[in-house]
Amino acid sequence: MKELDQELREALGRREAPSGFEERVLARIQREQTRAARPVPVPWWRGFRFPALALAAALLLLAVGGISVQRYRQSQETARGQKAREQVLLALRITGQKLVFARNKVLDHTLSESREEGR
Amino acid sequence: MTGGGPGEFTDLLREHQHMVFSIAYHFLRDRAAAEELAQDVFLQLYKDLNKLESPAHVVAWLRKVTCHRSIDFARRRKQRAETNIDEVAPPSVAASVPDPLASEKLRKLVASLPEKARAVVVLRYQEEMELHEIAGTLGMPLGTVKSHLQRALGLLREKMSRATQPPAMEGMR
Repeated sequence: MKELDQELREALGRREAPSGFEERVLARIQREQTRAARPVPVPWWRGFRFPALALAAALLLLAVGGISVQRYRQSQETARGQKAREQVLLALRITGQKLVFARNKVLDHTLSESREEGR
Repeated sequence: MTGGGPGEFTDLLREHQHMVFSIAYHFLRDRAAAEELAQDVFLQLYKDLNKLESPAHVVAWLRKVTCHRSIDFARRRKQRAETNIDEVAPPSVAASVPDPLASEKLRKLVASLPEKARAVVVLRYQEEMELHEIAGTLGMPLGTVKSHLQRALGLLREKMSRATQPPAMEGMR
């Protein structure tokens, strides 16, 4: 046991760090500090100092967005309704014109028959 | 410790670089990995220096952090699987004849121990720490430290003692 103890102490004696180790550690610290000092662009939504304000702003945006969507849909429906109305009116106008045309045809025919009978 | 200024840190780096590198090296048996790990330890020291209260605290902290990082690193690399202690051939020369390679073989055997046992052996024989100090550093009960050490020494002794057996007995194993 004593022999193994001594062998282990000799085998596991302290090794020297590689040459330049100190400089490499200091250089790495310098690099990390330089990286940390660089300003990181902050997204606009991270600009709020207080989470509650950020939440309120988000809710307001949602509400405004929601109202806008609703109004848009209403205006779309109105436009669709208007278009349908115009189409109906057009159809009625066409039908009316055709009816007038047909009536005139009938009248013309009746008049011409009466003239022939009167001879 | 004082405010942890750059001068103080540099002094500590100069004073303890060999200890930290050596623990990592004997644990990992890889100079490049040991240096990288040792650099990481000192980087962390730089950040945490304000939390340390005395020079003794710094030493204890360095040993603890180096051991824990070494254990994590070794587990990630699965070094034990790569070099199982049973795969390491015992020294080929009888113990009575000084073998310059015996120390190297012993280091290899130590590096192939299970991680926690390896840490106990390195702290015991490189840093010459008492068992209760090792228990504090590694965060394990004293009984567990003793058990790890006993088992490790048994394994190492068994491997090393094979070199003293006569050649005829080699085939009987």
